[in-house]
Amino acid sequence: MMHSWLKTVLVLTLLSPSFYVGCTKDEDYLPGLSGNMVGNVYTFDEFGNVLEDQSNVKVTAIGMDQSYSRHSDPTGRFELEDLPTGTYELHFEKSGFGVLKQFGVQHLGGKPTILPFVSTSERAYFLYEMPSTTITSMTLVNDSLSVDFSFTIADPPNAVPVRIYYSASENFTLISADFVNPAYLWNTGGQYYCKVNFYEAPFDPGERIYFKACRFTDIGAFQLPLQWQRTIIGTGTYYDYELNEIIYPNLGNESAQYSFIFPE
Amino acid sequence: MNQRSTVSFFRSRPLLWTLAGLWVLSCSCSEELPEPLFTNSVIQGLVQYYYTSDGPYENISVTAQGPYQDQTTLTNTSGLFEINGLGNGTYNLEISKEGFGTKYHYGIQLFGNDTVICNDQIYQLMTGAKLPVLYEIHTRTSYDWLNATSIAITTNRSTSSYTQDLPVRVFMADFEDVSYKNYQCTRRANALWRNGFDKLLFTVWDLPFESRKEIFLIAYICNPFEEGYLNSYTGLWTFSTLEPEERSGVMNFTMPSP
Repeated sequence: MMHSWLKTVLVLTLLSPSFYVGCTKDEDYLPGLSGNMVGNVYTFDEFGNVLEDQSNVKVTAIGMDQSYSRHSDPTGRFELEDLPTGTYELHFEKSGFGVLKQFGVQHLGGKPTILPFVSTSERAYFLYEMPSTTITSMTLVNDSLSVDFSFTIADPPNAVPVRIYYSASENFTLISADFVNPAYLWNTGGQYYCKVNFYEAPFDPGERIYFKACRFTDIGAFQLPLQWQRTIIGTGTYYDYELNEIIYPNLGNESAQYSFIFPE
Repeated sequence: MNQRSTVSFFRSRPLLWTLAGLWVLSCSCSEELPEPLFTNSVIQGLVQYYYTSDGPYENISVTAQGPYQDQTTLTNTSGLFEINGLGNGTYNLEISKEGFGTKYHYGIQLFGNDTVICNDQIYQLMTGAKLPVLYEIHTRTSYDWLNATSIAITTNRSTSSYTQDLPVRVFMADFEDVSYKNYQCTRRANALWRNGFDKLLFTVWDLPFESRKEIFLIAYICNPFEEGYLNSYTGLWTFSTLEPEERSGVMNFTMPSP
């Protein structure tokens, strides 16, 4: 009698699936979970004006074994579904826009992972249109920069952001520049003009310095139209750990090279 | 063992019935919810009531909803709570109490020995408050630096027995299908009930609309002190005490000139 009791208990225990759940390898930390990944991406024109329709940004999460893609809705929201636990690489793409990436997104599974998001403390994903405006000429005297642009739009904007690259050597490449700074050129009576900041520039006064510029926009933050409580902080650049450099996805073509005498 | 003898085998052994039952239960449960492999993570925090009460803050229900079985705890008299023994994974936190709006925290990632702190405030529901029928809207913009717009709405008081100040939040937009889900601007109405005038009067500041533009407005019963919070899952600014059914009709007004 006792023998059949024990046998029944043993058979029931071995058949029970919960018995096997406990028998996992030491390196397992999650019991085969999956979950959704939710986030927001915002699109801007080449001067940093937020677009009305945020749809059709293709968001791809690249995992160890498989990739998952979704398109954003008109508000910029996207939800990738049922991704297994793991670390993902995100790509944001839209035709005519720079490609934004984020590496090392940790996804544990269970309830949805909320990606860097619309709030005052976290960062959203900003995608900018590739610039069609080109730089036709530049003049730099002391710290006063004047630039002529060739626009493809009818109404020239009030301000045009650029990145300026400087070097002591002639015919330098952007990557070998000795000093870089961003600048906002303001439309003052049809002429685009700004003061350039040379703080900590590694040049000697009187030295001939060569410079080029590219159209580039990264506004950093914006307010959702008419919604005072929604200031959204975000970034349009990323660090690529494989290349070990910061990528500026919407960097325009480089201008011709100009030179000036570094001021006192 | 034929069927008759199987039945008699189990009939004389209640413990076996229990074991068999538990086995069936474990099969059905383990298919839906996995078992956590490590349970060292903690969510703790402080939940209090906003403005309407100084406490005690006890018995506010806090539930961690994750990949495994939900875990619920209650706050102590100070409003402190702690949910421990949580496994690796991503969690949502639900904070609720009868008579108060339910709030959520999303995407709490727990791994290893993590301790995550979630503090929050909950707001009293305006239970019993009813919006009277709203008829006509009048607006006026003040000339001072405050850029204030006074809004007066004529009401039919006989449709409501609620004669105190109305706990109202208004949502505005330059399109007609304005609602609490689709709007361009929201303000607490702080609606003063003027006895004998049948008017709902409130003043709002810095309306982001151009002069002479036609603006549509809808009012909801909502705790007027609640400024709302971002629901990071839906992406919508959310009011936990807003009652979607207790709303006015859509009314329109022309944005006054300063």
